[in-house]
Amino acid sequence: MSLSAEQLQAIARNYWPSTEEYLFRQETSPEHDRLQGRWEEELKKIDQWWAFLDDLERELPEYKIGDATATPDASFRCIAYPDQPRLLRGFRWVIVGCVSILAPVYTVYGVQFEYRGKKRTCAQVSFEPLLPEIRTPADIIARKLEATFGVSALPRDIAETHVPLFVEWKKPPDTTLFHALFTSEPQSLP
Amino acid sequence: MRHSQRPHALSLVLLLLSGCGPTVIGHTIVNGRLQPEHFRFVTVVAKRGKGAGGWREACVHAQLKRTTGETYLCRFGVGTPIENGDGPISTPLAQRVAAECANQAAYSVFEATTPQTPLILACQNFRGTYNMVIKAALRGAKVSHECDSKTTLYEFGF
Repeated sequence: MSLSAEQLQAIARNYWPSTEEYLFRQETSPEHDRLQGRWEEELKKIDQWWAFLDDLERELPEYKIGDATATPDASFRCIAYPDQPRLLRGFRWVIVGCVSILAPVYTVYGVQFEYRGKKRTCAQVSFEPLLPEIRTPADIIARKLEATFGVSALPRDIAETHVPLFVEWKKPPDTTLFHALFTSEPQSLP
Repeated sequence: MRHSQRPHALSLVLLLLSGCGPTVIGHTIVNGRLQPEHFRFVTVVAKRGKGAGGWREACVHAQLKRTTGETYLCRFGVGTPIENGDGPISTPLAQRVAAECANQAAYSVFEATTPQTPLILACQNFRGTYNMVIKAALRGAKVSHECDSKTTLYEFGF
C-alpha cells in the first residue's frame, strides 16, 4: 500500500516544525523531541542495519560500503563507493540508499564528486532517472532495501512535493518531502 | 544604515576561562575563542566494524550579548562521522576541527555584524557559515540547529 503525498506530508508534519517560532523563543520544538524519539527506537535495531550493510557488501564486491546515518537526518543512509584507485584529479560517482525512519519508504540517488587530490571540490546530486553508469548498483541497493525492510520506493514526483516545513537547512518554499523523509543535505556524505 | 565609529560591544562570550584577551573584528568585540575541550562529543550512532560510518555530536549554547542588555542564546549541534572516506576520525581530531572551524566562522560572521544586526540573524549566519566551513574541513561533518538528546550541553557566557 503506497502513501500519497498528502499522507506523507501529514506524517512529516509531526517531526519538522512549520514555523521558526522555536528559534525565536530559543526553545526546542516538540517536533524535534518526536524525531529524537523515533531515532531512539530505530537505533535499537542498528544490528539489522549493519547486517544489511554486510549483505550489500557481498552483493557489490566492486564497491566499498559505508554508513552515512546521522541523526540530523530522518533516514538510515548507506553509500556504495566504487573500489577504484584514487585519481589525482577527476570525477567519481557514489550511490546512496536511504530508508526513512518516518514512513515505510526508501530512495536511491547518485552523487558525482569532483576531486582535487583528496579534497572534494564539487558535488552534484542526481535523482531518477539515474545515469547508466550507476543504474546497476543502484538497482541492487533498491532491491536489497525492499527485501530487507519491506519498504517501497518513493516516486520522484512525490519526493519533489513541496512542504511548508523547516527541515534543518531547508526552509519553505524550498523544502520537499525528500528533505523531510530522508535528508536535507543529500550531498553531505562521509 | 549608519555604522558606529567605535567597535560596538556585541560580545560573543565564547570562553569561560581567563587568559584570552578580547579581539576587535570589524564592529564587534569577540571575547575569546572556542577551544577543543568545549566540544564534548558523544557517540550517537555506533559504527559498524569496518568502513565509513558512525556519528558523534556535541552541543553548544553560546550566549550572544550586547552592552544594551539584549541577549540571544545561539544553539547549535556539531557532528562528525566516526570514520569517513579518509579514515578514522578520533575524538581529539573532531574537537580540534570543530573548534578551529567555529572560530573561523565566528570571525567571518562578526566581521560583517553591525550594531543593527539582530542577534538571531548573527546566530543564523554563524551556524550557516560554520556548516560550510566544517564540511570543507571534514567530509561528512555538519552543524545542526538542534542538538541530539544524547549530547552533553556546553554553555558559554552564563
